[in-house]
Parts: sequence; C-alpha cells; structure tokens
Amino acid sequence: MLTVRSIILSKDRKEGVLLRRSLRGYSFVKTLPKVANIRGAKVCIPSENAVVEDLELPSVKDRSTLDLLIKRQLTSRASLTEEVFLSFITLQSEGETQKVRVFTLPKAEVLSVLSGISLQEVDFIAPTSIALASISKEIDPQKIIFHAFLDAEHLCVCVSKGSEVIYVRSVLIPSQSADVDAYRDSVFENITTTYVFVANRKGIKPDLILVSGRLKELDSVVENIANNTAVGVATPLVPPKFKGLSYQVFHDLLPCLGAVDLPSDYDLTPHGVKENRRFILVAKALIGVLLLTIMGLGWLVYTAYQDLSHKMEALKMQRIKTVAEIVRFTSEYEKVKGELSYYATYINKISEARSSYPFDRIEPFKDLITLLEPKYLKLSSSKNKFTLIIKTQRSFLSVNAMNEFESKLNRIIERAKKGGLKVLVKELDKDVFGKSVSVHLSLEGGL
Amino acid sequence: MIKVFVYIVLIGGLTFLIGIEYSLFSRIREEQKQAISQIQVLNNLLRDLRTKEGQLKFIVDTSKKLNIEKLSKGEALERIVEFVNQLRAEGIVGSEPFSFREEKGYWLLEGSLELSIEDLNKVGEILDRFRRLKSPIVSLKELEIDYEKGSVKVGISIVQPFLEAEYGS
Repeated sequence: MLTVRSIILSKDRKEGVLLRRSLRGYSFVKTLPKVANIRGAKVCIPSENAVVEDLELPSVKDRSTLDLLIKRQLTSRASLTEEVFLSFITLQSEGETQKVRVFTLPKAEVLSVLSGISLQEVDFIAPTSIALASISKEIDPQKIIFHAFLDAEHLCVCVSKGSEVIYVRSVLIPSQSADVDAYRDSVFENITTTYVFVANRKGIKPDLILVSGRLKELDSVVENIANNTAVGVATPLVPPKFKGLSYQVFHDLLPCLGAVDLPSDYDLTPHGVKENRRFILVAKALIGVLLLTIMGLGWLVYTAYQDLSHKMEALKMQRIKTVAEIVRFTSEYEKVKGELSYYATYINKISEARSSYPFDRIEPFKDLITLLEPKYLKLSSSKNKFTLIIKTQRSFLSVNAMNEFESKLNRIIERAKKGGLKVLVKELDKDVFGKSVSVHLSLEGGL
Repeated sequence: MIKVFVYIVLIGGLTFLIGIEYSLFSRIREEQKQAISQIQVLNNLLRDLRTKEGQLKFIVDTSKKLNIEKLSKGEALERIVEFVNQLRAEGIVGSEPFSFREEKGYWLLEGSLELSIEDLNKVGEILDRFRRLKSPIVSLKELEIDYEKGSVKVGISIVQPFLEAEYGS
C-alpha cells in the first residue's frame, strides 16, 4: 500500500492529513498538528497571489526558453512582479504558436509558508484553487461550479468546469474579529461581489455554488447567497474515495484532499526538486531490480546447490555400489578365471562337434536313398555346410519301370530344391536298350 | 551529492553481490555437469560389468550342466590315447595314420576310421556313441559308404581341451 501524505500549509496554520491509499480508496490516518519533517508530501498553499493564466507563445520546445518567455509575458501583463514557482500545461499547439496554461505562486510567499521545512523534501506544491477545482469535479465534471472555501484566514473562490479552472479569487479575511456580524458581512460581500463579477462581467453562468470549509457553518451567509444568486447552493459530501474521513475533517482539509489526486501538470515543485525526485525514483527502481535479481539468483543458487547435493549423494551411492559390484565380480571372476577359457573352448568344441552330425538333416533324403539304392554315398560336413554325394546304377525289367524311376527321381530333386538345397546332377545316363540308369548326384545345404 | 554517493555505493555493492552469486551459480552448474557425467560413466561401467557377468554365468552354468571334467595337458592326452586304444580294441581300425597336434588349449587328432559295411546298424550305433561323447569330443568330418567295396570310411576329428599350464590346478 502506498502511503500518500498531503498537507495544507499557511502562515498560521501548519496542519496535515496523513492519508493511506488502500484498495477501497483513501483512509484518513491522523492530522499532523505540527509539521517538522515531511517527505514526498503534496503541499497545498492557499495564496491570494496564485495566478492561473492562459498564454499564447511561439512554439518552443526548450524548457528554460519557455520559462523565460512565460515570465516575460506575465511581467508585461503586470500580473507578475516577483520571483515565482512556475508550472504550465500545453493546451494546444498549432504551427508556430502554442497555447499554454500557466500556474504560478510567488516564491517569497511559499518560502515564508514553508519556513521550518526543508524545501528539497517537499514534493508537490499546488495552489488551493486547483485543489478546489479537483473537488468540484467530483460533484459533476460537466457543470460550471462556483466553489467558495473558507478557512481561518482565507476565502478562496474557484470557478471551474471539470479540472479546468476558469476564474480564481483568493482573499485574505482578517482573523475573526470580536464583531461576528462584521466578519459575516465581509465574507458574504466578497462572495457575492465575486459572483456578480463572474456572472455579469465575465459572462460565465455557474450551474451550482459549492460552499465548503468554515462557510458551511455560517448558515445565514449561505442562506443570503442562495437568495441573492438564484443558483443552487450545496456543500460537497465526502466522496467515496475518501471513505473513512469524517465530514468535519473533510471540510477542514478540503484543499489538501483535492491536491491528493492532482496530475503532475499542476505541480509547482521547483525544477531541481523534480529532477532530484526523478533521480531518487530511478535509483530506487534500479536498487529494486538489483535486489530482485539478487533474490532470483539466490534462489537459483539455492536450488542448484540442493540439486547438486542430491546429485553428489547419488554419485556417492553409485560409487559405493559400483565398487561393491566390481569387488563381487572380481572375486567371482577370480574363482573361475583359470578355467574360464578352458570351459569356453570346451563348450565351443562340443557344440561344433554336435552340429557336425547332420543325421537330422539327411532325414528328408531317406526317400531318395531308398529310391536310388546307392552304390556309393559320401556325407561330409564342414563348419557351416554339408554335402551329400550319391552314386548309383540301377537296371530295370522294363522301360516303363525305368521311366517311372526317373520321374520319381525328378520329383524328389524338385522337392529338395524347394527346400533350399543346392542339387547338382553330375551324371544321369539312361541306357534304354540295357534298361539301366546311372546317377551321380551332389546335394549341398547349410547347417 | 551524498545521496548520489550512497546510491552509487549501494548499486555497486548490489552488482558485486550479483556477480558473486552468478559465479557461485556457474560453478555449481559446472560441478553438477561433472557429477552427471561421472554418474553416467559409472552406469556404463556397471552395465559392462553386468554383461560380462552374464557371459561368465552362462559359461559356468553350461559347463556345470555338461559336467565337464578339469583335465591337465597330460591327462587330456591320456584321454585321447585311451579312446584310440579302445577303438582299436573294438576292432575299429584307422585306414591311414592319424594326424596329431596341439592347438591353443586343446589336443586335436584327425583321421579316418574304416568299418565294414556288413552291419550298417552297428555303424549308426558307433556314430551315435561318438556324438554323445564329451571327453574326448568327436566330430564327424566325413562319412563315405561304398556299397560295392563294402566299406564305410568315417572321417573324424578328436578334440580334447585341457587346462593351460599357467592356470594349472
């Protein structure tokens, strides 16, 4: 939660209100009866010499040149005779001219009010009139509002529409004399004459008159104003954003509450202070970023360290496990080391020898052997293949029987070929007259 | 001016801290990487070990199942001689002289036997016996049956592994 301090200061009155900005609006904390050291506060100064004026200037961007031009124009209009705090906002800019709204407060007056307070630490200075306009805006931003505020020493009248200040009059009313009636008359007279001046001479027709501050206690004065102006007279109620403030406090500290939300356009803080403020802001942001980075990195380092220690633990366990396995394996290996190659050779040789007996392989050729009734048979096997060589000579009683034999043989050979064997018929002699056949076959297959 | 100085010191200090943290972080990361690679190396080592162990186990198990005897070089030779003598005693005669040599880790005897064709069943029995022999190991190289001559020639190689002297039991 951002704490916002806003104070109202005048020659006799050094009072402040401490406001805390919460989610629901501002909450009143306490008034400061004696202001000694204020930092970053918005200071509202009631001054009868506050100037709000619209000027036409040549279009210049440079700040110091603009200051100079504004001061010269104000001096030539005789509305400025001394050193001022100056602030302005650009209303419109067309080609070579620009229209600016200028706010000034006499420096001497401000300094006298601020005596006892270090100026460097004062954050924001605004004329009471602008603060009042910002309260009037809360009532109705579309209407022209004639707002009269009275405190112990000043009467400030501010005619505004929205946040635009149309007319300002600030009058010093001598502290309450013994003669209450004279005081009332003085207040009434000042308000009515200002109203008449605004309505008749300036041609501005206010839609509503607001009376605030001590004025709301002067019932007879308010009644008279109502009778004389024929315009609605009202006192502002506490707006929702100042929830928590009592009606009495709200009215007493109205200008400083109005100053709370003023945009920096209305800021009359001296140039150096503004720059200092910007520097502090940037430095704070930088420090914040650095702190965040430190925290982020710290977190990263922390998690990385945690992770590392887990990994180290795992590594340690893995080392122990590996060493144990190696020791176990080595002892097991030691036991059989001598015999290992022996056993390996033995097993290898046995499996080689077993596969060299291809009796199962020649099982399919039983038919062939039976058919051929071989005279010679040779079966040889090497590492991955076996060869079967069959030689025979058959004689038959009839040619028919011989042919039958031959066709049977061919069928068997075909079948063997389909079974993936390489069949070589090296010799197949048919002696039709002798009714005999001589065959020489070679079969080859993989093991 | 003092404010500016304080801020500069603050910012400098914080930046310095960030630098230290960063170097710490990168060192930890480096260590992490090393730890991971070491774990991987150990894992690979373990895997290799398991594979070797599996092979070892297979060889040992198989030799146990086969009930392989441990024979020294001399005993192995004796076994072969004994076998040949037994063949002779049974009347199974070699047709040509055996070639006999020592290979790496085993004795090797190659040659052929001549059998009479009269009883082919007996030939089958002999071969079957040979096939089942474990010591010595007999492999069949060639089987030649000449029905006209009435002879059966069996080319065999006899192998008998032995325990190398350097591991001798």
